[in-house]
Amino acid sequence: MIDFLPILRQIVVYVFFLTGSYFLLSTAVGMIRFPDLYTRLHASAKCLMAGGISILMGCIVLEGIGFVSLKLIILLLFLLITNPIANHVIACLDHSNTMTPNPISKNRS
Amino acid sequence: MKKKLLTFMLTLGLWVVFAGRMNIQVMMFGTIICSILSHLLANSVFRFVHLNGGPKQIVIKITYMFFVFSAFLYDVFLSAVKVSRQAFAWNPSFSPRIVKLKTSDENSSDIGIFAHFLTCTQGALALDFDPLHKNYVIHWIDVDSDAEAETRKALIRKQEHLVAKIFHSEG
Amino acid sequence: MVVLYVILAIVLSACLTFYRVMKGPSVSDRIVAMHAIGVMFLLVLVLLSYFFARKIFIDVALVYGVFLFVDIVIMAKYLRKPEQGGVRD
Repeated sequence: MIDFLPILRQIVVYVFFLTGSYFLLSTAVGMIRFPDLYTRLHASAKCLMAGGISILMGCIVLEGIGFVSLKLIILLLFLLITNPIANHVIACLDHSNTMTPNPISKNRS
Repeated sequence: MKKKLLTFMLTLGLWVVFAGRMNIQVMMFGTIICSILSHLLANSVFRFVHLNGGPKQIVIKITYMFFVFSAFLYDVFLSAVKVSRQAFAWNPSFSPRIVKLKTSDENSSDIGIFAHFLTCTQGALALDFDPLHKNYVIHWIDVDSDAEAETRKALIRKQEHLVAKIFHSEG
Repeated sequence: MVVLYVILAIVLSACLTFYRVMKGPSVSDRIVAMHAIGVMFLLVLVLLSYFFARKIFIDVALVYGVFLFVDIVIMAKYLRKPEQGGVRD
């Protein structure tokens, strides 16, 4: 009688790691091939976040239940919160530097 | 008092997770630190959240936030598949476009949360927010006609309604 | 053994991303590429804790993630024009 649970866990870990490696590799290729800054920001926002989330989920499944997996869940939530904010900050920097300055803020300073 | 108790529970949970082991000395030290932190930070943490319902309201709101988070997590994977297909294509075809979208929200935390979630939806990236005219500036990667832009705008309005329910007073 | 191959794939993608740091036309391109490389090495740090069987690396990864985020926000604040609340003249 074969025990099914470790084999199932191993298959789930393989699938998560494979999708994570695919998304990270597509991030690198898109970072080279895309023509504009904003499209590069699309690659850096979405593919990087999906790759990180799937690799951390694979680590959680590999670890099991314990304090280490709780730390990994907190790391995943932190990555999910801070990665869009970092991309939005860089996009806001570039968009506000190419615009003409606002007259109201010019008077204030 | 309710806010202080909730902040104390949250910081004690974070302390136990970061310490990595359960011990009588670790728990005593954590209780002292977390009581000082919750006494100092209780008013500034819950400044934007209006908690005027009972404890039943909080449970309903937390389950609603869990569903919204999982829906946006699913949306991140869909849009990542779309962008990675563009990255590996032999001759990629972009049609980028920058669009202003007017909003009707008044709550400032609501606007911030939705500008964060707008990055996760399909093919959109929040560039800037104009506080004078109250409109977002959005960059789309794969919209090529005006009719498709209108359907995208309607879909974004629907998601904005979903997010705006989190911080409302009646839920 | 699977962990080693995943680490090699992530390091390969980080080396490919380093091309954009060398040849970015503007400063924002280089900041975006360095943020991507930072997140990739955070994932390598989490995977190395399974390869060497040491739990302390995950704490290092948490602190590294906090510093990565603060780094990007301070750089974007510094590079703004002074009309929009920046420091640079």
